[in-house]
Amino acid sequence: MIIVINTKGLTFRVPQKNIEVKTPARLKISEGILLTILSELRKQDINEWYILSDLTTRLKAPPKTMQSRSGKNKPSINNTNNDMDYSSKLDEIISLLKDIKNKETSTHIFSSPDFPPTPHTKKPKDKVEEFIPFIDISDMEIKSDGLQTQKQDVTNDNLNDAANAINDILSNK
Amino acid sequence: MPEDLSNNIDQKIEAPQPQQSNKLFIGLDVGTMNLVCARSDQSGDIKLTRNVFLPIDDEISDSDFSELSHVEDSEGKIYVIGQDAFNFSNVFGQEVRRPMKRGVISSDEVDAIEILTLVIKNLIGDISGKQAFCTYSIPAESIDSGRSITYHEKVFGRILNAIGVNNTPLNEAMAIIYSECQQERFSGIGISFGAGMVNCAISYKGIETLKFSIEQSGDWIDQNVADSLNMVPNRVTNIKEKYFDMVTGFTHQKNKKVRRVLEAIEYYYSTMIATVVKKIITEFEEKVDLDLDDSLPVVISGGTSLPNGFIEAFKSEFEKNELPFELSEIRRAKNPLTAVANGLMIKTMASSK
Repeated sequence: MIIVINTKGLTFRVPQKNIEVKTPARLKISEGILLTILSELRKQDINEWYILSDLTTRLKAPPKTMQSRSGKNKPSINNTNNDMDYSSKLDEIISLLKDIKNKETSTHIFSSPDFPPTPHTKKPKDKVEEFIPFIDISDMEIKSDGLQTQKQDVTNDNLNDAANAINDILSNK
Repeated sequence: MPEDLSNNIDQKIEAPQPQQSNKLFIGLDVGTMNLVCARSDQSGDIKLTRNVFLPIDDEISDSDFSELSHVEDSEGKIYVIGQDAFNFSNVFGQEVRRPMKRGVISSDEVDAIEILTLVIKNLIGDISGKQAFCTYSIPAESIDSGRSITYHEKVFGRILNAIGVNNTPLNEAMAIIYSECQQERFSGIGISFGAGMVNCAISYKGIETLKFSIEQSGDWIDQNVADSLNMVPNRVTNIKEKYFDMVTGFTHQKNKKVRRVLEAIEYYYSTMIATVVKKIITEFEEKVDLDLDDSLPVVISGGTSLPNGFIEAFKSEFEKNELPFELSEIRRAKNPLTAVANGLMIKTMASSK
């Protein structure tokens, strides 16, 4: 099982079964809640998991509810007691874990909290490697990119010549 | 609207059927200070941006940022990015935040991965309808600290996967060889003086025979000058990039404060060059056992090598030492800011043929 934890909450995945379940609410989590969840995993004999997370640097109180510049209230939680807020959702999370356990038949064994091992099967060269992105930029947008451009005096022919020359020399032509 | 990558979690990314005309080759130089991207369909133009960002305090987030390059996250938090962040921070005497430190992703800034992903996606540009292949730069392990680069390498691989780009890592100093040493049949010594570290690779006929890095480069200079003069490091960077000249020196500078900064920069530059040259020679003596018929060129690249007089100072320091190899020449890359990205793109093209 893979547990993806980020500021948006938790996602539980069982890649072999193509199961993915997100926590019902996009809530911040704290260290206390994480430990409770992991404890619950162990109670249910779900010992094969790893955490894909940059959580260690995020274990801090979330910001107060903010109002966006567009005037909409962004979903956020009161930062007075994060554990208490999340506890109210814990039953739902435990229910999800039980559900996942029932669906899960086998998994690779990962050691937590390391990152996943290299996939066992070599991917075809021309195929984008399947991976589990925990990077979520869906709610983010770049405005006024500010890129700079450096001109260089090369043509596609120059570049192709160089690429061919590398291949020639590496194949001892 | 940006692509919703969260929907990709359960989707395999189906690569299109190989079509030569549909292939896009990319070189992405992941630098501590700059991110630089070369694309085969825009070979005359190489895009770059500063690898920095600046979170804006909530109290001033109602200001108009429409003129500045910025990102707004899902909670309404605003981050000014790139050159605008650098300029903005200098105006207000703040320190920019940097996703990378000493050549690798910074353990202090793991929160910045999403911002970094967005910046890289924007830098690479539109790849819709293309089969995109990218070689991205990675440093060699440092001989100073022995820090692993595995996490850094994997994170950038994941970032590129997340935006749908096939990717392969390559040492950045080898990329200089691929960009600049075709006439020597890709034999030579590539040295990249970046912000975070100095990377060095020796290549014999396109094959990497030694690589290493040294954690003493542009940021080391800026930090030491800032510590010496009680300044914010990015202000030192700004003065260094605007005024520092190793030929004319600092004495002609009329502004006393700037003159003092330039003086300190000069001292640390000289120390850095002497240290780096000694370390390079030691590494070669201890680890390289090549009996070469040909002499080797040294090609220097990277933003820290940009000041006028740098190559001459480097040559002068080299000449003080007995070298363990025959040197043909020391030269600057045609464009020290873009040579790595260009070499990476050429290697992508070569690998895909």
